[in-house]
Amino acid sequence: MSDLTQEHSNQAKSKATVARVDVPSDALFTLRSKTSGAAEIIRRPSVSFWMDAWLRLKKNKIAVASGIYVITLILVAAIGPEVIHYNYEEQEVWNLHQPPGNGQIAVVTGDNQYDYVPVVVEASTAAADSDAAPAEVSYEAPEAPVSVELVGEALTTGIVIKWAQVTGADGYRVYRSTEADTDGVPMTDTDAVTLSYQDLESLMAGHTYYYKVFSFNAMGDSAVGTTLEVTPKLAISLLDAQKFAPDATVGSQVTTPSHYLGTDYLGRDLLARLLTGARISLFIGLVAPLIYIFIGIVYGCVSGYFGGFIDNIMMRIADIITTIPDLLAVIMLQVFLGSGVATLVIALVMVTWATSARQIRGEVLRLRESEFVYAARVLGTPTYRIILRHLLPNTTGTILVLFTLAIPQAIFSEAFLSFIGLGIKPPMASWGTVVREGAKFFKSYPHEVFIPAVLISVTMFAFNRLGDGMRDALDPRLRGAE
Amino acid sequence: MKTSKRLFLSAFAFVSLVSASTAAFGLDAKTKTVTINMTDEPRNMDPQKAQDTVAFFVLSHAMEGLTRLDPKSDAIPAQAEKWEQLSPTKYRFQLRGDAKWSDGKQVTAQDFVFAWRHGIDPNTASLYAFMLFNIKNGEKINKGELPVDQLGVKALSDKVLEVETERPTAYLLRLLSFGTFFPGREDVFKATGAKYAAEAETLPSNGPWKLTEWKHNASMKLVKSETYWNAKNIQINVIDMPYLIRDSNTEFNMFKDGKFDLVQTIEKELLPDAQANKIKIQRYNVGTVWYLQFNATRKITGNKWIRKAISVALDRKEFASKITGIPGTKPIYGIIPDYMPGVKKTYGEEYPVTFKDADLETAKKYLAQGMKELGVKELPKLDILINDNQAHKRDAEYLQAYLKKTLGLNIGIDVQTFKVRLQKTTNKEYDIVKSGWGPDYLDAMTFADLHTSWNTNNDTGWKNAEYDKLIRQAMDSVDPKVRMDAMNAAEKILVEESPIASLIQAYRVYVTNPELQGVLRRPLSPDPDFYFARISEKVANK
Amino acid sequence: MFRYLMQRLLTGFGALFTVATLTFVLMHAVPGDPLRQEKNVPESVRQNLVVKYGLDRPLLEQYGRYMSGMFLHGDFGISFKQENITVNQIIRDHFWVSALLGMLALSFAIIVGPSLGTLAALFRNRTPDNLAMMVAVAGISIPSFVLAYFLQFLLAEKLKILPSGGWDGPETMILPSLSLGMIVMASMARLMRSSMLEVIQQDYVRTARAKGLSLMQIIVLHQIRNAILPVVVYIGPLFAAILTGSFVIENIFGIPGLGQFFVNSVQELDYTVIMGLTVFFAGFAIVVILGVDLVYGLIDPRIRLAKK
Repeated sequence: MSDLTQEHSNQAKSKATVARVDVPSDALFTLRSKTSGAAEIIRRPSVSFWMDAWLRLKKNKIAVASGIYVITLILVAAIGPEVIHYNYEEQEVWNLHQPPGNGQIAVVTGDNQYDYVPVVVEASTAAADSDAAPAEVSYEAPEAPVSVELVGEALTTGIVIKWAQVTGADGYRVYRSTEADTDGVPMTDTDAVTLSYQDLESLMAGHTYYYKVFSFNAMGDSAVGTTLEVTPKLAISLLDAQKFAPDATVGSQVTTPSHYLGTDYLGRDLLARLLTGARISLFIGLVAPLIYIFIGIVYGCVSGYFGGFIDNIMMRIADIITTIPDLLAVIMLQVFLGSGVATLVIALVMVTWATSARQIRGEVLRLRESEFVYAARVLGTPTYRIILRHLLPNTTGTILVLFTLAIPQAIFSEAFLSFIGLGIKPPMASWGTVVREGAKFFKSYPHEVFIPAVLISVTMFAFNRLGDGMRDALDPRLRGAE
Repeated sequence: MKTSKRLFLSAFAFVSLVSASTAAFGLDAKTKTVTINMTDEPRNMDPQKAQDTVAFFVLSHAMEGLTRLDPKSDAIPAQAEKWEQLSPTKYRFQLRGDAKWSDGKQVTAQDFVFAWRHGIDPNTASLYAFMLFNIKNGEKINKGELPVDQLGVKALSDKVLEVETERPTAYLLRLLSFGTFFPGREDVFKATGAKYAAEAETLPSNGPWKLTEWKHNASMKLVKSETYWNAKNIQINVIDMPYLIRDSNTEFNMFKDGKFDLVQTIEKELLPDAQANKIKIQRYNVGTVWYLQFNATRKITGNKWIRKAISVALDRKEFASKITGIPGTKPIYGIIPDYMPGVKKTYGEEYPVTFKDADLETAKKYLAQGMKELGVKELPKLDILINDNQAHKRDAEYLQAYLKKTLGLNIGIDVQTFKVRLQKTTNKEYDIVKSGWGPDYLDAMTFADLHTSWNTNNDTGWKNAEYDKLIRQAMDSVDPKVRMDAMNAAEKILVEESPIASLIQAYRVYVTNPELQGVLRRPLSPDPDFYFARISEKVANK
Repeated sequence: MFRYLMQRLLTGFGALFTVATLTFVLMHAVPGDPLRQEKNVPESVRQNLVVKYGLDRPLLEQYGRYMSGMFLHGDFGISFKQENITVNQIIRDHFWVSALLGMLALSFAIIVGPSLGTLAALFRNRTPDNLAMMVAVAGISIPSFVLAYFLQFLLAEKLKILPSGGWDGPETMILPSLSLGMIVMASMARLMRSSMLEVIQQDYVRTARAKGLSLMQIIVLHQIRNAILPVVVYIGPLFAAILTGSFVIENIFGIPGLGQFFVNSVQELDYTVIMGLTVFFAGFAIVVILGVDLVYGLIDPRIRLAKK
């Protein structure tokens, strides 16, 4: 009840036409005493519109937190890539798909990493006699080799295995799996005389690989395969090692530098790529809305203020632009201008300026009928001054909110376009391209898509919240309901 | 999850559980149905105009040519039950008495004559007309210099076909198993005109299966044909393609759900998932050779030493094993892949072509020499042109960083959509383009003649008289040794001059339902081949 | 009213015409040859194809032929890529799938969104509001394709309660509609909330309250009708958002809709399909926007009367 009274008294100041209702006293209501002094107390500090909005914004904790996040992000994006150890395009082919973590111990190998002499036996003497003994032909698949062993050290630069010969085999098939109880991927088929295999395929340190060797002939594969469990150690070439340990020598052990967020499919540092990506995504996210809102302001003000025929034509043109499908425009632009940041910005501007123009025009239309504008016209103020000094400042609130909410939209659009392949040139990274590249490895190396996706979402969330907070803070109509 | 959304979802889940789908998906032993993904909409199903893998797949099951390929990819009798070779360039084929179309009509020699003429006719504008250049006068007719009836194919009677080739062709019989040489129905063509083979009803069928359903861009279905001469040996009754899934992840998920029995190729990124789910993984040789193609008409890439420097600097083993990462991918140093037939064994065994790569010392020497010849102190930026495909992008990024690391070259990446990339390549608007070539037929010539001066597919701008001469020599001979020697010598010239820097021979991995056996995979169509496939006994007898 | 309708239809038609022309110009300016395939053909063969598609005629003539075919006969021509299928057929076969997907997504958004927003507004700054707005902002922040993959992974693979793809049967429609509609739902929730809050301040609400109407009655009779206005206006641009979003969703879930076609055709430089689909989409958009404006006029009598 006290709320109602207070509001009522506040409103009474501005709407002097509201009649005071005589309330029956006694049983239901007791009249509160009120001194004229108390009625005049200003309960809210007297500040300017902007100060008031700022104070209200500060009260909104989430918006504040978002604001801090945004500013930190911009600072980090600006300086970060210069400061950290890696850059966005350095590849470590020996370190693909590394999850976030510290550096590892590696052995340095020399140029002979591919040297491998296959174990080859003499063509079986049994074959030479075969024209005498057709009864030798077996109608069964051969047995599995009795043993499989590792040759030399198991390193990520290559694992060599050999197995025992099986009589009656026409060849051998080697499988490799990362799980113990499944055959896995067929790596190679050898002929009857080759009893070894060099595995170079994407070996990762610390992972356990299970090799299964089957023998086969025309009747089929051996029923089982003989298994060998191998866990390779990390090995890198001298050239690569010298990048971070200049006095490394062949055979020595070095510790590789850490990748705090891991590496991607070409061994590039994810943190570096995300920071560089932040620069690009934020640049696009800030510049594109800046441009198209500016265009929107000019277009909207002219269209809204002059109204009538001009407004009609201008809005029709804007409508036509809106009906062209966005994707088509973007793809066409890309073909003409090539891929790159500039193209993306132009594309986003082209596709969105009409909507922002329309929104601003709406505001201008609304304000145009205000009394202060009317007064200015009556006083003979030239049109441009009316627009510049009266209309625009009053739309600043809306524009600011539009801008803050346009940023996450632009970030999303960039991510979306990059995701479907219309983004910037490789090997440059933007958040969208990093998500696209990581999405393929969703199941095996989730960090490559999870981290950038979370980053995009959190950033968009922060900008959205900030924008919401600003809109709430700038909206005078909400003031009364505090 | 918000309450109303949770309610929404559980309501739907409930409804869907109650109204559970009753379609019989996946390997159905009773009806002998195999379900696979449609992968893409075929561009054109007219056998003489077909050009994409889906079209060739469906056609090679719905139709049949004079010969077909056995599991070893040798030619065996198909619509023709026997043949005799009358001269180095003349053959006579005897068609089967029981070779019939699915509507019951006999397959006649005239059907072959009609179809081949239709294919070579310049008005048909067939992309694969060049296959018919092997037939006498084929090339001249296609250029418009001779009338269509001059093609070297004649029907001596309803069941006897005489074929005359342009020159002695060692691989003719294998060639005849290919889609461009399938027969056709002139009556259907006259009746349907532009709609010939555009719908399931207008596609004439003489093969083991018949195309019974074709919803464009959605689904297709092949059902065993009872009029096929070898119907009793065909063990699969229905090949069903009820969905067109383009996303490889979704396709694999549906395989795991049991909705597909075979996924033609899975990307290496899905291998860990496949292993974790204990799925049977298989490998096959897709036959493609990938290489970097240089533009010989431009200043920098026109210099032989620059090209050789790049070629020698590349580490093909690393590229094949770490970057491409599909088991079986092999480095290649020439152009002719290992699996091509040689004289007695494979080409790779008898004529290996290698040189030392990842040789930075030699590469730097070549680079210095090239720069001296060109009179430049520093090399300008060179662009690698690629499609906007994730795998190509990865390869290009790797090559870019590698060449920078080893030779200090400044390389950019030019990503374009497929059509634009093709255009730029043909117009020679590129520095380096990452290119691949798949075999059209199983003979080394399909790779060897790629860089001749008369081949319209040679976009390098490079030509060499000696190379041309050697290839002509191989084309004019039937003796395998003469041919292989000539092509090998030509290959050595290719390596010496380096108009391309070859990279790898590609392999693919794929998954199948273990109860589905006998499916053949090949570098050429039919691939996958269900002719010899069957459903394993333990499931069939349940 | 009739005059207004006619005026809008005329301008809509003009817009369509302009869009078609613009697209034609853009497409032909793009480098690249629609007839180019992987294997090069002899020039004579290529010439035949060129003549068949009329690409050898002067641009103006091609333009004329194309426009007259489209606007006078409703014939969009033959696809370059799939040489025997007409664009009309493509649209006919696949439009309904995309339409259904879009409708489902929109329904999800329209039913859940405003409800969520209303709930949030009524319990402003209390738990339901905070929760609802968290969900809404999360919905706007998470890109649709990320959400799609995530839902597919969680619900289809791990929990196996929904299928991973395809488009046959109600259970296959849930995940795509959800992924597609989430952003729209979240936007609508926020819009609804803020417009409800605005409405709550209005005098007529207070009057109604003073008159003794219950909260429920007020909401239904007054608030919703007024608050829904900005939401209705928003449907136009949202429609466009659904259109672009559908391409990725259709791709991920293997849905045979029109969205996939669109980008494929641009990459393949399939002129006729590009033109056909662009004009079709644009026309559809114009009709939808017109419809929205009319509905808006119906809901809000102030607008109707204020029309110049």
